[in-house]
Amino acid sequence: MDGTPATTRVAPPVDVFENDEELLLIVDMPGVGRESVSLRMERRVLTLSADRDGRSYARTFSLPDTVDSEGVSAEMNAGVLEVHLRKREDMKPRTITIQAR
Amino acid sequence: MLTRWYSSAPRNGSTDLAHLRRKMERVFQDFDTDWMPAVVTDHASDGLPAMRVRDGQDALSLLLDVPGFTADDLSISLENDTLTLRGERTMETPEGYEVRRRERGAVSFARTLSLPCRVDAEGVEATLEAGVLSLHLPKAADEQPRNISVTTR
Repeated sequence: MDGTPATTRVAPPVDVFENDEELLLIVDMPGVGRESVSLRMERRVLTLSADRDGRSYARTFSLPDTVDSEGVSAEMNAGVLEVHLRKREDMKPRTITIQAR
Repeated sequence: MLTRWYSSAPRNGSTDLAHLRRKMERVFQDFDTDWMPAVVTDHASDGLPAMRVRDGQDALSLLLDVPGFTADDLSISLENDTLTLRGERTMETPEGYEVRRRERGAVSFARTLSLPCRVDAEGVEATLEAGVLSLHLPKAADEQPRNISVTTR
């Protein structure tokens, strides 16, 4: 997506954060209401697109296999999209307690 | 010679393109520091928010991309025909998260525009919706086009 010389298609800037529970994407998409955002997950690829009068935002993310493809939620506020990508249970770090005998 | 060309070109191709694009964006940005008559669109680069301005018949309108800003983060002042827009957005890492990628960055900007005509300061309206600030600046009454009727004798 980056470097595509199309004039009407914009790759929005994104911040990516991670904790033990999830990956969090924060995307600037001013001028976009929640109803015009589309998020599509296919295999491990998340495609984000949104329309804004006269131009569109589009970006594709390849996700690590730690992400649970069913556990995606998103919210939009003040032109900023937040996408929460939950990690698979079996991929979360676990603490193993050492038992004394 | 040829070998050298081939060895460097593919590797730097995409960064050169991105660089060129940034340069062009900057050119457009410099353009609309002064007022452009029709429609100006620029894209955010170097931390300046993208802005579009339009000179309508009875009002000037301006749209500024300010995603994540609240009304309190923005200030607008109008003095004669000089409009100044300021804003600041701080970027914090959500608590308990580690940073994997940062493209958005903090934004602090101040843009000053020389308006092409006098506006009615009392009638200026500013609204913030979906991360876009829109300003409606009605032109002063004597700046608006008038129809002059021709009388026959």
